[in-house]
Amino acid sequence: MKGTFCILLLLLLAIIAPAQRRTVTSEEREQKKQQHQEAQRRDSTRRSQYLRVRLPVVFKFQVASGFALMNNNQSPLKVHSSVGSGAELQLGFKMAKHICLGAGINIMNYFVDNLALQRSVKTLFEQADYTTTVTSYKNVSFTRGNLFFYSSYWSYRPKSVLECYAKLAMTHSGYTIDYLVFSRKNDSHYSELNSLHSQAAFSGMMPSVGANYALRLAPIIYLTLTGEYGYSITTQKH
Amino acid sequence: MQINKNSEGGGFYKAMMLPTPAHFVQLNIGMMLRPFNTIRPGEMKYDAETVKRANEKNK
Repeated sequence: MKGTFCILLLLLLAIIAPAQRRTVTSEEREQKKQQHQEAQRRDSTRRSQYLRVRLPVVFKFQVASGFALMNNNQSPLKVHSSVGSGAELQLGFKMAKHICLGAGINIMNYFVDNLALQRSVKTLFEQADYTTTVTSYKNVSFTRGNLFFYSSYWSYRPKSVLECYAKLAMTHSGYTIDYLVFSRKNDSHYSELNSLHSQAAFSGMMPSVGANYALRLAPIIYLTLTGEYGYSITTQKH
Repeated sequence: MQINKNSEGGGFYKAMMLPTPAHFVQLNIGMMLRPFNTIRPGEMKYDAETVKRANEKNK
């Protein structure tokens, strides 16, 4: 009888013990999984906070328009003011509450007053007793690209930010002149053909100052309006 | 560059100065994005003073 009881007890233990072990393992596994998920969540939060603290970045994308005044003093050709349009992209870093440093690119295309330029070309080749005609020409447009660095001061308003900035740009700009002018002497068969062809390329620097009004539309989105004046210091290559 | 040719077979060429760009006035309209503007209250890894300082800087 005692022997039978012992055998039954052993059998019972053999059945129950593995089941108990399985339950413990499952709970432990669940706990480990939860701990792992918690650790991952903490890491993720830490990373995002790190970014938020370390990268106070400001992006700006702007459609640009404006006009350029040319320096005509040294040239017999006269290019007057030209109206242009383009785009500007900026990446800034807030260094302090009121200070921002950044860089960007600006590309503009200006439409030159071709009639005024044509008139000045004709005037250049006009002589007494000659009939002068501009026989062919190519419309001139003036293209400019900038790589710039800027520093700005931010003045805060309740719903907006007023930013005053100074820029220093490395510029590359150019245009192509292509004219053919025919002159014929009135009282003889003597004639002259003048060809004007030049690819003007200007590399240089352009310091500029400006102000930017940013109206807050949402906590991270602002509508910006900017006005800027720059003076270009260039060298000319023929 | 000016190239001159005449009907008697003569001619010359000479370099010519061209107008240079000098003054630029520009008006822009666009968008400014500040995706890392503030630290949210739920994300408090840093102590309160650090969060306050960072938010003040990013304001």
